Amino acid sequence: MTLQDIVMALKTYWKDQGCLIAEPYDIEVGAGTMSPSTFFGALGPDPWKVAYVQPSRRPVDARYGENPNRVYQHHQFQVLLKPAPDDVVEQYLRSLEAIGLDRREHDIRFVEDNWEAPSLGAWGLGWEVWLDGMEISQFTYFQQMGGQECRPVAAELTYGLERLASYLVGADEIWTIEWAPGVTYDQLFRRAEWEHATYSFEQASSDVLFQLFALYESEAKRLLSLDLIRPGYEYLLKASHIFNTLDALGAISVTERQAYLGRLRTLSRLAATRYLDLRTPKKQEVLS
Amino acid sequence: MMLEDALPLWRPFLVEVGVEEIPSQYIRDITSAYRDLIMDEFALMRLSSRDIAAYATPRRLVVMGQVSSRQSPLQETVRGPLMANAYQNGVPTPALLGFCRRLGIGPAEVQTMGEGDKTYVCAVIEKPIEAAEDLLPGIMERAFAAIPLARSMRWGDHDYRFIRPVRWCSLWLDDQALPLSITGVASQPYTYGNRTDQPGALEIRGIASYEQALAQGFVVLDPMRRQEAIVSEADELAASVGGVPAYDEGLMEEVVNLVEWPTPFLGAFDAAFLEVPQEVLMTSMKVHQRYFPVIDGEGRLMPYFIGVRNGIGRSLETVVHGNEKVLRARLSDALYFYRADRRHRLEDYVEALDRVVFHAKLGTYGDKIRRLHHIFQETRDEWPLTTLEQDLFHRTLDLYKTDLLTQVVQEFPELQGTMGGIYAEQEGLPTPIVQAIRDQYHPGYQGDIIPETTLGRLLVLLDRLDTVLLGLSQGLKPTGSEDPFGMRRSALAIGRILMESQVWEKPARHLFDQVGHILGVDEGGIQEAFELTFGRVTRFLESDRHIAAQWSTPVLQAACPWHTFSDRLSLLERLHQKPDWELVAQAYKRIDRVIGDTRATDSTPEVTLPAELAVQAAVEQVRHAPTPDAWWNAVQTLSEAVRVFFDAVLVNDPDPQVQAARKQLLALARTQYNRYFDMSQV
Repeated sequence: MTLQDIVMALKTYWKDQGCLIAEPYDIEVGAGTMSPSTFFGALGPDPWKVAYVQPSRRPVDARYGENPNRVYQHHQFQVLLKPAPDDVVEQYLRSLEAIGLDRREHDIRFVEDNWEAPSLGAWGLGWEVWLDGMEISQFTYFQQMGGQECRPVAAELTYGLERLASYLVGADEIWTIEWAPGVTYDQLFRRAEWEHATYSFEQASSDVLFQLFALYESEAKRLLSLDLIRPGYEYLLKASHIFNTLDALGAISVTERQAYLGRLRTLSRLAATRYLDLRTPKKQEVLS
Repeated sequence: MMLEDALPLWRPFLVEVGVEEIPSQYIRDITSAYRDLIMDEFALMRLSSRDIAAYATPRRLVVMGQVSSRQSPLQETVRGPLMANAYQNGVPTPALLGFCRRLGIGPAEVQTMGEGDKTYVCAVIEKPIEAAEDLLPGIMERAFAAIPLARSMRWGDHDYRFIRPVRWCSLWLDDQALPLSITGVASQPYTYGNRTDQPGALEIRGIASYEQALAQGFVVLDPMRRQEAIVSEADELAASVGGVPAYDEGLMEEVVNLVEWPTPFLGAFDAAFLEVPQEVLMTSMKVHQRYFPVIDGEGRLMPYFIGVRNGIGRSLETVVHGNEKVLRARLSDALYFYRADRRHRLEDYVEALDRVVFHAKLGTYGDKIRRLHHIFQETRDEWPLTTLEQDLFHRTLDLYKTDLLTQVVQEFPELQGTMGGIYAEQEGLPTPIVQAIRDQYHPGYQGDIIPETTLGRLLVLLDRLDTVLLGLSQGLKPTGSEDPFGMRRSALAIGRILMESQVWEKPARHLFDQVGHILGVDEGGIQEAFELTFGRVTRFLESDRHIAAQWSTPVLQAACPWHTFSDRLSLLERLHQKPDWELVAQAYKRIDRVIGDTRATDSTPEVTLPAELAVQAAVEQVRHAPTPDAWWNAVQTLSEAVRVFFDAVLVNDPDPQVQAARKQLLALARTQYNRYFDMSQV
């Protein structure tokens, strides 16, 4: 089974459960949660079911392509179900069966995980899902997003695609995973990983990044105050990625870190409150 | 009818609440809270109960037992109008008639009752008796809603909260299904098996059938039985490779509460990983993977582990291989970090401690270490250390936090201290330094031990004094259940080292004063730190040593070193039972009342009367009593002298000089009473 087979199977499965199959968001994010499909989708009263792949960047995890499992960019398969159906856990288990993981053949465990994204003003309760001892998913009932209560509560299911793939093909390291028949992760991403690591740890200029952070932050604030919520939110995402790069560079001290997260959280709250104030009941607009 | 009232008819009941996977750490508390709340409700509702038991798996809470079939009778006396207002010329007034109408009785049925000097009309009402089946649903619902939760969540689109979503429930009285609604989920005659083997609904037709359904669903309801199954199978698996599982109480509870039907399995890892200290490997196995390591007869780690699968399932070898693969990746990381650390010496990290923040308000670890050097420098002659040990202690201070910068500790924060000790030993640092670094996080929890060595004790003492004194003065105070900076734990560590070792030979309060002044903390801050420590020690003695605060407080309060606490406590307990205690206590109370907060000074008061001189002589006698028993004898003489003194003289003499001298005399006497414990607190 290739990585793209897993993606296809999950898309088909969740499409059949009534999810809209969305495309990856085109701005750097650290996790699928930050896509507007989830950030705004989790807010407000309207039902909303969506699934999509999201390439996710974590500069601090970059390892020059030398580590068997840690990478600058990995891929998440993200599902958001609002409201979370009563049988959501069972739906999740059946999604594993859709990619060939029969629950009777494996040990599937739900281990407490309290999720929090300080920069998004978001938290929820749920689990890490373990497959034979390996964490393959995070399962979260959102309680707050952008500092706003989530009503109704959405369930977020995030699959780590590389982990699933390496388990399914018995690969000891990410690099031998086949994305498509004959095309390995190594071919696709090894060089890119080295370049991103070299940039993040050596070539990134903290001066430039601090300036960018300030610019993006003020632009986000300006746009959000004009009720241009999506553009404003996009600048927040850019600022957030810049923060992550600064963090990887080691340019932010522990005390400053809290302050930066607080600045991002202020923007998230602003985006969430503005969004709720202006909310129209048509769910299509969430994506547009 | 009478017979039924006297002997309740017992009926078995069972309530099951199905929940999505409850975090294992909360299961025990939630289960016992639900049981206790149900029992409280039974009592409140006048239902008797017996054989109540509560069980839980990750997915269900169950309480069962027997309950009386109906409420016990209750008579209630309801007070009516004043007798004087109830009848006019022997005829019931509107006030009385209204009272009767309200209770649904005739005027002839009322009685009278006295209250104070008034007489009222009253009625004795039999409260209605309800059947258990009508009361049980409300009882189960109210008790469930009252379960205290550390962290709860909402789900769906309503406001109910629980630790995880509730998905099903049912309530049974014998074979009768009773209606129940828990967080909006209505009862249904179904339960569910474990997710692996029997995920579908299983029909129930009563309590006996519930137990059959669980067997069919591969669910072991009782955590003790799950634990027994794990232990017996794990022992066998470990024995098959010549080892034993390294159990750990916390991990066992977690594993027991991660599964509904345990299936232990044995896995192996490459023996080459044993190059890494076993503390690291075992932590990785336990913390990351929830495995039990396997050790040999000498306690050495073997290249095996035991995991526990949920359910029976199929293809156990797939599960074993999967777990081995995950562990291999984990141990590779650990090996990588360990080898990277071995390329350094601890002293390489000393400078970097200036960049690691201890707390935003208390500076970096570098700052903290400089403060500890200063405190030690200023107090170095107070400690039972040789010159050589003093030098070793300064070196310990330089190094004790350096392991925070090692990669193994960054990956496994719980190994802080432990790794420092291991690396220090590998570097060949002197043993006292190794031991002090290793023990620096003890005592870390209620039943933990204090460091083994004098240097270790001194290190923890100074480290925590710095934390508590400066932390409180910077406003890092614990409030209610919140203590983010662990002030209470630090304060208890100080108190326990002062009590359980002889590292500090003076009264505890002197140490706080001395260190507080060195750190520039004001009197209020010192007082606060001392009170926090005092309070934590009192609570510790109460919960861990079963010594009530009324006994520990006077003993801790006396101006004595805390390490003599036990001796002084036994002394107090022994003396307090003696018949002559009362005379002493009376004399002390009288002195206390008369002189208030007069402080004893060093000057000898000018007194002339025989009664005064007798007290003065008795005080001297007490002062020079060499042993507790001699002291007690002398205190009795003094008390007798005090009694005579109060009969003979008036303390509040019109002459202010005489008055002051008498008060001073009594103040000196009072000091002597408090040599071993503070009499005013007894």
